[in-house]
Amino acid sequence: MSDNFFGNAPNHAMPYDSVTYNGGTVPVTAGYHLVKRGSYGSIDFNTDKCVVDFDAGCTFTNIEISGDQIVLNFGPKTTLLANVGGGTLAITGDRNYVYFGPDSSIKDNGVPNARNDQPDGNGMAVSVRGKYNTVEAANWTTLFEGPHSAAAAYKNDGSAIHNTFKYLKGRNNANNGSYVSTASFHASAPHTTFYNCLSDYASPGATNAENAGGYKHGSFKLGPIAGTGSPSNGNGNGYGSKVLYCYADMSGNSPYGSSSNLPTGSSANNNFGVINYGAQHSQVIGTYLDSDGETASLGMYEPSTLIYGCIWDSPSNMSQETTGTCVASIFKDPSNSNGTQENNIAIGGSITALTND
Amino acid sequence: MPKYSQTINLEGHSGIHSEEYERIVFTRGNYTAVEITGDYNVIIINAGCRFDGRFIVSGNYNKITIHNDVNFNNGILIGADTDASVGVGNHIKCLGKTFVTRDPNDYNDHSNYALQINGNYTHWEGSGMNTKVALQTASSKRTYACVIGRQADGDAVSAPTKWCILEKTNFMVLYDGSSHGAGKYALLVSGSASDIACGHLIAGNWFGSLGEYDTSVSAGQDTTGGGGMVELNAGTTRFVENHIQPVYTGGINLGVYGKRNIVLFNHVAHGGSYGLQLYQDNCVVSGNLIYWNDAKSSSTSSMNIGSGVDRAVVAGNRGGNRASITDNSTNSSVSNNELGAL
Repeated sequence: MSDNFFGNAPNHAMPYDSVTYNGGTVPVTAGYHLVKRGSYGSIDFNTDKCVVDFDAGCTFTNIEISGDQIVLNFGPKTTLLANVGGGTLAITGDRNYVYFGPDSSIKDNGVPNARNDQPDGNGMAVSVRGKYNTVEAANWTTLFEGPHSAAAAYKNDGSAIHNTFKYLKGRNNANNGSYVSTASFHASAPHTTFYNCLSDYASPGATNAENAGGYKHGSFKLGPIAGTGSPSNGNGNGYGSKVLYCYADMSGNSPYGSSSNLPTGSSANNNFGVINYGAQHSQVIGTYLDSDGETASLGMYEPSTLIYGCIWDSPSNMSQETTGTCVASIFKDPSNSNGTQENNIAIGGSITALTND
Repeated sequence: MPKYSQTINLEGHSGIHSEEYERIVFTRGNYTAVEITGDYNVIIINAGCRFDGRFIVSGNYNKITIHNDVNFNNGILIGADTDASVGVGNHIKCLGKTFVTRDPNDYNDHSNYALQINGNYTHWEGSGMNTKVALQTASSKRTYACVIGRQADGDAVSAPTKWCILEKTNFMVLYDGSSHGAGKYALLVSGSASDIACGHLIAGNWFGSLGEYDTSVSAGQDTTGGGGMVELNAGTTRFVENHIQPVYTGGINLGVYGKRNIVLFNHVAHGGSYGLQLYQDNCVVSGNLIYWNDAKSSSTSSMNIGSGVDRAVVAGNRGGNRASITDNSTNSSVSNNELGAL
């Protein structure tokens, strides 16, 4: 094949309205655009109906989507890296769709806010504060990292609703945890859905102390992004949220390199697979958690919740309120007899070990 | 930063493509064998493409979008035949009518696959019923429409394939009109990995030609007997919202042989032998319809739980025609299933 055959022909396959090359200005206007491999800094997509295909290997600091009905289709090996308030990827508009190709990295490398702060989400790789948005990754090779949260739907006034995250792998940063509600994923806005998302890094740091990354509120936190406040305290409300077919590995021998087991210090709530403070009427369905013997509980501390068809490899407890339902699941012990609990294997012992997990 | 990626139009150029970070377009036309060995490409297969040779993706982290009316006539391999660490993290997304099959003239004497997924973290995303992965039977040969973590010699990949997503696709093995062959599966996932966490998500697929039950199997229908429709050997697989409806007699519709599998919200009907066979520990089977086996016989259980099974949940399912489940497990919760005539 001659060199000429590999000549650039950007418009051959797709009728793009524009093509942007390395270092150029990425168009944020309505239309269908192509952005070639390059570095582009910080961008605010503030115009509705802007559709952009990106080549592989594009790098950015942070991106905000403040417009509506925008589609950003990122290629493989995309990088977003920043220390900004409000999310390295911040979606404040409505009805937007963002896709990240395989082996992409979206990271906030800053310092999270203090416990019970009420910012727009410091320390979040993805913060969604609009309505009806979807953030989707190619598969679990695309990693979202933030000291506070890998991905969160949140807005102080509760107006961020019906947002969806699919196929994300989320972690908290190593050696950079905090007393804020550190979790891989936060459903802190009504009707947030996490679908087949993976939290695979139990203890974010070798130091393993509370103020250095050991304080992990949970793999999935339903409810406020900060502290343990009630759903009405303005920190967020995960009413009606869903964790569907998700997966968490909190074990010390995580194949993904978790450096050590979770700490067992004095701080409460540092050991939950799923914790629900502030998300009434929420559901956890078909979700698997491997704790490999570490404490990793499932706590639904709000009314009218559903736990269905989950497997919880954990020595810790399942807890729910009197209006909760937990059926067809496997875990060790219930901490109470609240609500409906049927067809569960509350085994009181170890489930059959896996040889390599 | 290297030079910006180019757009490469492959106007009929088959063979090996080792480019990286490029935008590669398979323009409409006929291709022979193709192998994508490079990484991080955005690959677009235009509408109307035909691949008469095998399509192999041995590079990593490519995004491949397949447009409408594309045929892969001699199979697809994601990864390498014997190694799950090759061809990792590719996302293959079908947008329209896609057909994947294999030329019977190229069958080996062991096991033949239309779609062979061996690379870790592969995401195969069909477009719905319009994405079909189909294989014809052949005398004395094994025919599996799709496998995850399996070699052409019929053995499992030694270090099992992990963390794949398989969704929105119709898989089937069809009778060629003369022989039912030797062993068939619409989907077989990772043999010899029952106690290893593999973490696959298999969701929203159809298995079988979805025909109504017919004792006179003719060419083009689901084949009969031997093996089963879907067999899950990998640990921690989540098998949800699928539809299994073969026509054949004999064989098990859904075999769950991996530990800690979660099987929810599936429709399993019109099969042979058991609708569901559960042979491993700590699995959850709930919210499924599992019925009509062996010509709607009431003598065969829709669900069979093996004697070695410990601490499983089989609850909240609708089963039939037989009014009971065969349950030889220990410490399990098997109840609240509505059973009997349908």
